[in-house]
Amino acid sequence: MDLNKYTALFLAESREHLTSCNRLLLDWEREPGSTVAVDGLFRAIHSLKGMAATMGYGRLADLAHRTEHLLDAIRGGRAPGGAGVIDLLLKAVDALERGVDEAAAGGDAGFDAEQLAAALEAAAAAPGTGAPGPTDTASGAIADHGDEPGRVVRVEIRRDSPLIGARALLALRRAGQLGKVSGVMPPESGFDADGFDGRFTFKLDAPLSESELVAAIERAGDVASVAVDADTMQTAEWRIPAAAVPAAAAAPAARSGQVRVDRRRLDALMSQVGELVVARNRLLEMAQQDSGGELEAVGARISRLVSDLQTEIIQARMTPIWQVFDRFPRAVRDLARQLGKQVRFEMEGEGIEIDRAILDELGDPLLHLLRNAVDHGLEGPDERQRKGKPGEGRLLLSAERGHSSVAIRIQDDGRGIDRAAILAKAKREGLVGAEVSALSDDLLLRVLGRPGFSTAEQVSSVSGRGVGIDVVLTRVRAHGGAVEISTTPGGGTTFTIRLPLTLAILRVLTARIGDERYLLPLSYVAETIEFDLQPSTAVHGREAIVLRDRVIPTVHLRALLGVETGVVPPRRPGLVLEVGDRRSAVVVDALMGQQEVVVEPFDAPRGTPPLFSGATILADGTPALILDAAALV
Amino acid sequence: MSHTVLVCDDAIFMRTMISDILTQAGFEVVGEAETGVQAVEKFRQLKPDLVTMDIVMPDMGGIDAVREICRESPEAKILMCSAMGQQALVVEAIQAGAKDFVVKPFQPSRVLEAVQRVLG
Amino acid sequence: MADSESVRVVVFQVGNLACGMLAGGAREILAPLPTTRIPGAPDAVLGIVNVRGSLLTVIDAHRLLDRAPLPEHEGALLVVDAGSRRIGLAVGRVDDLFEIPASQLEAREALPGVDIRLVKAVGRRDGLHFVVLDTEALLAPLLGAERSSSRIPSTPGD
Repeated sequence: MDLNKYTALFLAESREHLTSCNRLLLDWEREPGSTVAVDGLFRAIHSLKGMAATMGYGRLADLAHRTEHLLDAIRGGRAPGGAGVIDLLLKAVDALERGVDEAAAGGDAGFDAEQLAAALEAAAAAPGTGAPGPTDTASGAIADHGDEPGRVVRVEIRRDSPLIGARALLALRRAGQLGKVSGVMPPESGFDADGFDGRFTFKLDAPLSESELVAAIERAGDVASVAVDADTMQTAEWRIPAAAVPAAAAAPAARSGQVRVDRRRLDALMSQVGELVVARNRLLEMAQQDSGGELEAVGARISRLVSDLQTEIIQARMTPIWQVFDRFPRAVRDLARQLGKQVRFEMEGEGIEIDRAILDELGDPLLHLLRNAVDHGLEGPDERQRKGKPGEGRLLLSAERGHSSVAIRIQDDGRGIDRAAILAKAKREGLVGAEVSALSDDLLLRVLGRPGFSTAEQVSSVSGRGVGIDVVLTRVRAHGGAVEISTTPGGGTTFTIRLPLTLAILRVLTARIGDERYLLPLSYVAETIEFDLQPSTAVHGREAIVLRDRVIPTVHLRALLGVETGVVPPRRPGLVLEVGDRRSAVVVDALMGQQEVVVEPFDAPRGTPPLFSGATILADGTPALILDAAALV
Repeated sequence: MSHTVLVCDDAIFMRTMISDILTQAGFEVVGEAETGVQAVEKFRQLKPDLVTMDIVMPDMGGIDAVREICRESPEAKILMCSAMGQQALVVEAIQAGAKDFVVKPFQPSRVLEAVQRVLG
Repeated sequence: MADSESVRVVVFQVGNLACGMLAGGAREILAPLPTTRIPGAPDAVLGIVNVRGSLLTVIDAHRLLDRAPLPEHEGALLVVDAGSRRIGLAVGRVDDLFEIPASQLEAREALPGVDIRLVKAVGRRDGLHFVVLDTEALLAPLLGAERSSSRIPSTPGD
C-alpha cells in the first residue's frame, strides 16, 4: 500500500490533535480536578498513536503509546497527576509535534525520545492516588456512579474490514469474555444491517485496566480503535460535553460532512478566479459599447456567475481564527513561567472566520505582540502588588467582526508604555524634532514602528529575537490592514489590528486625479462628499472641513501625490476615510465608481513614501496603485 | 510441538490451499472433511487444536457442524471460511460458537492472522 | 561550439554609453510598455508596468548611469533578476546578444564618467568597448530593506 498519499492527511490531523492536547493540558493545569481534560488527552494521543502506527512511524507510535499509557494510568488512579506530570506531558506533546513533522518530512528514523520515554514510564509507574481520577475531587465524582458499574466502551472496526458486522460481533464477544456487557448500541441484531459502519458502544463491567481492556478487544482483529470512558453511559452518542471541551478538541468530531482541501489547490482556484474577475471587468467594458445588444446581456450573466463563484471560493477560504489563536495559550504560559510572571490569558471571538491567507500571516505578528505584553507590558507579581494591582496580570486576545473587517485586540493591564522615555529616545535618535513635546498615540506607534527601534530598556532574550513592531506594521499593512495603539501609564496597553476579512480580492473606489487613477479600499470609505461645498476651517495649522459638527483634517491627493497633469475642476468630490476612530477627508478630481480588483503584492522601491498597500491591473490592462487608508488618516 | 488442524471444505481446491498455507506456517493438518457430518465425526476422533470450517457443505452445513461440535466441546477453536455476502451466516456461526472468520479469496497473511487470534 | 570558457552577454545602449550584462541575469527583452508612475519614488524609478498580467517595477538606466537619452533610441525594457527581485531596466536600445570567450572580458577599469563600483568588467567586440554592469550594485540603492533614518513628520494629535 502506498502510504505517501496519506502523509498530508496524517500531518494535518496529527497537528490538530496535538494542538488540542496543548490546550487541554493548560485547561487541566487551571482546573486540576477536571477529568474532561484527561479524557480528551487520552483520546487525542490514542488517535495519534493509531495513525502513526498505520503510517509505519514506529518510533513516533511508541512515544505516543507511552504517553497514552501514562494518561491511562492517571485516569485509572494508578499514577498521580499534578504540575510535574503536566510539565512532562507538555514535553511529550512537544516531542510528538517534532516527531510528527520529522516523520512527515521523511520518516521518523532519526526521531529519538528515549529519555522522555523513560520519564513517561517512571511517571506511569509512580504510586497513584489509589482512587481513579487525577485528584481526589475527581475520584469522588467517579465514585458516585458506584451503583451503576461499568465503563462505556466505544469500538470502531476498520472500514475496509470484510464482513464488518461479523467482525464487530467478534469484538463484542471478546469484550464479553472480560466481563459483563450491556447496553450495546446499535443492538447486536443491527450488526449485519446494510448501513452498519463498524462503530458501536456498550457498557462493560470488568475489573481490568483500560489498556488491558483495549488490548483484549483489539485481539478481535481489524479493530480501528477502542476507547474507554471513565464514566457511565448516558447516551449512545460519543459524549463530548460541548460546553466543557474547547472548540479545538470538539472540532475533529464535528467535522463530519466536510472535506479537507489542500490549500495550494484553493489558492490556485482563487488565483484563477482572480484572473476571471479581471477578464470579466474587461468584458463589461466592451459590453458597454454594445448597449442593449446580446453582448451586454451575456456580459451581465457572466458577471453574476463570476461574482457568485468568487463568493463561494472566498467562503471556502474562510477559516476560524482559533486555528491561529490556539497555539498562543501554550506560548504565553511558557513565557510567563520563564519570566516568573503570573498571567491570566484569555481569548475571545475565536470562532470568527477570516481568509486563510491572512490568517497564515497573522500568527507571527500576534505572537510578537503577546510576547511584548508578557515581557515588557505586564509587571512581575511583587511589583504589581506594590502598585495595588492583583498579582496575576491580565492579557486578553480578542477578535471582533466589523462589516467587512475584523479587529483583533491585544490588551494587557500592565505598566503601559512610558511615553516620556520613548520620546527622549526618539529625540536622541533624531526620529522626531526637538520641538515635539509629547507623543500622541499615533506618533508613538510611528516611532515604535521604526526599524530597529526597541521598546525594551535592554533587549531581553525573549522579545529581542523575532519580529519587531516594524515588521508587525509592515505585515499588517501589506494586507490592507491597520494597527492602532493606546496606552495608559500604569493601566496597560492595547494594540488593535484591523484587517479586511479577505485580501485576495478587494472592493475599491477608483479616484481620478489629473490623468492618473488611484484606488481606495472601500471598506475604509465612510462616505463621499462634495468637498467644495463643505465649510472649511483649520486645526493645528492644517486645513480641515467641518462635517456634521466634526472637524476632519483634509488631505489633497493632488498635492500629496505630486500630480501635475489636468486642471483642478471647480467642484471636487471628497472621500471621508475612517480607520478606527481616525478620519480624514481625501480630496480628488473625480470619482470613477467601484470595482473589485485582484490585489498584487507591491514592493515599493526604497525611498518611496509608505502610501500604498498594493497594486493591481485594471480592466484595460493599466497598472494602478492602491492607497493605504491607514497612511492617509 | 506444532498445532493440529482439521480442514473442512467440500472443494478439494480449497482444502489443498488451506492445508498448504497452514503447513507452510508450521501447522500439522491431521485430517480433512468434505461434509458437516464428517467434520463432527473427525473432530470427536482427532481432537484437533483448530478447525477450519466452510459454511456451505453438503449433508450438514458448516454452521450446524459448529453448533454440534461446540455443544460437545465448548472450548473448540473454529475458524469459519466464508465468502463476501455471507455476513448473516457468519454472524450465525459466531453465535453458534465459531471464534473467527476469514473471507475468500484467501490471503495467506489474513488466514494466519486469524489462526493466531483463534489460538492466542 | 563555444568552449566552457565563454559567456553570453547582452549589449545595449544607455545614452551614449555601450553597456553589457551577463545574459544569465536578463530574463527577456521587451518593447517599452505604458508605465504607471509611483508618486514619491526616487527619480530613477519610472513606475510599474503590466507584463502579461504581472506587475513589474521599471527603473531608468539613464538616470542610474547619469546619461542623457538619445532621441534616435526607441527604448527597450530589459527584464532583470537582481537578487531575489525581478525588475525592469529601461535602456535606449538593445543591440545584440552573443557569446564571447571569457578571456575577452578584462578586469574592471576606470572609465571616464562611470562609477567604477557599477562596473564588473570591460568587454570588447569588433573593436568596440562596452562596460559589463554589475546590476546588483546598480540597483542596490533602490531595492533592499527600508532603513532610512529620516524624521517622522510630527502630526498634531487628533
